[in-house]
Amino acid sequence: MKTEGVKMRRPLLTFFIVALLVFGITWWYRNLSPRQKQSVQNLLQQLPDLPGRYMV
Amino acid sequence: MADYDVVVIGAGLGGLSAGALLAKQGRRVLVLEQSQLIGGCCSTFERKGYRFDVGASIVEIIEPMERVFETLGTSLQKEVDLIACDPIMSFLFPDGERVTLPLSAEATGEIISSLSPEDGARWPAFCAFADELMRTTLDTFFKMPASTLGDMGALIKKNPRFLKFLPVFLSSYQDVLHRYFKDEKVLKLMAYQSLYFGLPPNLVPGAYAMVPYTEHVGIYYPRGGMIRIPEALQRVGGLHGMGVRFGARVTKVLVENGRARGVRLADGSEISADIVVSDINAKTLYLNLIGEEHLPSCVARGVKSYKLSLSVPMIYLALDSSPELEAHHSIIAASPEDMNRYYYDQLIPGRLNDEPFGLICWPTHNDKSLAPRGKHVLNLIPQGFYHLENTDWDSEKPRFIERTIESLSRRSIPGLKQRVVFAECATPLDFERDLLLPEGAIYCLQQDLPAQAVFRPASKSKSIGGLYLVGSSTHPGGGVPSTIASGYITSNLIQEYED
Repeated sequence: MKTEGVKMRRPLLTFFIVALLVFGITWWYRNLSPRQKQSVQNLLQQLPDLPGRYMV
Repeated sequence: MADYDVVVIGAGLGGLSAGALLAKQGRRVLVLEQSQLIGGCCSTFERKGYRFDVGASIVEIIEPMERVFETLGTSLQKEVDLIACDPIMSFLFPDGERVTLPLSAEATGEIISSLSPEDGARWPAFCAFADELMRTTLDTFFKMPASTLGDMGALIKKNPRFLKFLPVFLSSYQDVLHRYFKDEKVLKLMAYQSLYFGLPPNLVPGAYAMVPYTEHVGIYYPRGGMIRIPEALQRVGGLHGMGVRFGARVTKVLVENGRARGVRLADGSEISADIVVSDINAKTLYLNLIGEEHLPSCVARGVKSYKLSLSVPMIYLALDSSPELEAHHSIIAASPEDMNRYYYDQLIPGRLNDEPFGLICWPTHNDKSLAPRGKHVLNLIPQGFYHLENTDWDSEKPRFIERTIESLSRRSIPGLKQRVVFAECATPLDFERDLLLPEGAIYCLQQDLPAQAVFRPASKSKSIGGLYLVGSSTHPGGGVPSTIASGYITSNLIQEYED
């Protein structure tokens, strides 16, 4: 019974942590100035290129 | 046996410093230059008795240069007559006010205090931060490769203080400035330097925010023009046996079994070499001279993903008398936000502004030998991209020269227009045609965080054996000290891996 309770709580805990992370990042992003948002967007846009660039 | 031990493509600062150092190691080195002039963007040309610098306008952070000349068995001071610039910079405000900063950091602190006592109080802390950062990067970043995670580990092992500055590398130039300074006018004295790296303050990595301080460590101008630096490298390299061949355009890097074996020239002749060093744009090198057929697909994708850097439409003015300026460098004062707006709203869409931002360089302030007696030269260095909205640089050039001179005469340098004897302009298109810089990109590749260190093309190619890179395309990036440092780093790598 005790093991089943832990098993049930684990997805809930994962969901809670993920939700907290998403909320935190959204809150952080929304509070950035427009120019800081441009910097972050510039980084995000180039993220998929980084593995290839590392190989050059 | 190959014709040469090393063939270097391009006689820019990186190519010449690597070539000279490799010749000193006892290798047979040939540098191939497509034009008739050495130095690339760090060069000087003459018109009607006036000498103009092609691009680079001063040198600062001279330690990497000193290291190269010392390794070559001489000294920078012996080979190049460097004039110390003081004052270092004059800021021209739109309301006509001017703020001129002296070389002395202490005296600069007093000027900042007069504008904002709070910011003046923070200036010593900024100087201490920037000085430590400068010494840490000179001890690591400007000496060692940074192409792999292992290299980064070695940098940190060599100087653990590097770790302390990691958050600074991850933040932006603008963030670092705002951490120390609040006053709009003070910020206007420090924002423009971000464009030395070809990007606005919100995209340049925070570590470069040390530049408003490092200028106070020393700014120098080589007597006779910027070409004196590559000439010195060529001369000293020549003493060690380095040869330079002009008018030799490389059209192919010969690759056999995954290793560079030499080059083919535009006239069809081939030169074999055990090692090929490239001082050209890495995109041109990998995609045109080597070809995708020799590259793993992930490498080709990586190379294609790089964005080219900003260019500059340089205007060269011969003047019949002294301009109303106070320093070797003058800048139209602009806040970080002004710089960002200018970049996103004007430069990227390719709009030519009637009132361009830019650097104004007055070399005859310090070196009278560049012009006939009593005359002067002035180089205007506004920023610009290759692509223009609804037009092109060849069509715009005459209007661009006229509008820029008109605007500066009206706003910042009274009487400039009346003093002009003649004007010339090198647009991004001219840089592409004459220096073979794709889209006139003077720093080769964009220098934002995702194109730095391990994400910049490696000094020792990861996909082609015997191929090495120097210059703005590779670590540590664009600029006079960086490109010279790249020659030092690459020559050490060749000694380590090819002996």
